[in-house]
Amino acid sequence: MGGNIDWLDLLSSYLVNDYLIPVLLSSIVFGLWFSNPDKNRLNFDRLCVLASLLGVGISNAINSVLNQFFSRPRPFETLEMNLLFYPPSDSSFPANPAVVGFALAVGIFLANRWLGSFALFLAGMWGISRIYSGVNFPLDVLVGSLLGGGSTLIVKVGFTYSPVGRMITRKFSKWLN
Amino acid sequence: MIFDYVVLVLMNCLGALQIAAARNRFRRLLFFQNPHGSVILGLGFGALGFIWFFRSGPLHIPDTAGGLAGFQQFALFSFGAVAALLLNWLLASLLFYLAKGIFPGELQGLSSVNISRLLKIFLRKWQNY
Repeated sequence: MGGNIDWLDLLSSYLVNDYLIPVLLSSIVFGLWFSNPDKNRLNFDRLCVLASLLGVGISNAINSVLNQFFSRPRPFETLEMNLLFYPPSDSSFPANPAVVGFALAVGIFLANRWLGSFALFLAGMWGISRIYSGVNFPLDVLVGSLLGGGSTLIVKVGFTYSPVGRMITRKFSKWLN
Repeated sequence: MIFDYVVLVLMNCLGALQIAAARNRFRRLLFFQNPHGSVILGLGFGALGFIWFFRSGPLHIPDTAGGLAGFQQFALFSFGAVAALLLNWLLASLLFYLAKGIFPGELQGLSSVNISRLLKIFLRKWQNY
């Protein structure tokens, strides 16, 4: 796909970078820890931050296991295309950046809809740029985003509804206050 | 690469803290009294961090050739975030001390650990020697 439109290639080369979007998303998560004037709401935001960090950890662990079972070649290895990124050597399925990006973005979205929409947009752009640059197939990004976002969502639902989760939430809130 | 990444994280976390403190009215964490100025300063810190980082070298380096692996990024981000918190705290307290009375109001949250008071005692003791 890439290599035909100069400005799009330039934009993609920044978006696909290993550092731009992860640092932006992580900085938003860091800022959320301090950002709400309402104390109850601040505790909720901090719980979402915790859920998103646990979501990143859990989804990455699942991703590592999946990478062992599905050794899918990268698009640039199987298709005629211009590679706009360095050639990764691990399995294409599922896309690791989509896993991390969506795990963080869903956590942000649960805490703050406006910031979360921006974070989801960034995570989506990261995934799309991976496809455009020839390092992932769309299915890799789709499954990665569902895995990452789903993990954070499950952790947050677990915090809210399961007895163990409620106990953790209580202790966490007590520790914060 | 490690140094550039830590600078990037430090600048971004400083920026995020300034924006969060402006929203939360943590006046003791702000560099400027004006919240809008603090938001602009925060965005500026973030932009400067990225300009610094992307001007410092090539964009795409695999972790097998000098780039940073995921766990290294996590560890360095944690380090940079804590460093940004401490630096913000020290700078804001120093500014508060230098401009006594400019930021009136009750102490809240993190601000309750009053570094400016510590600095004041330290300076007083220093003058006594």
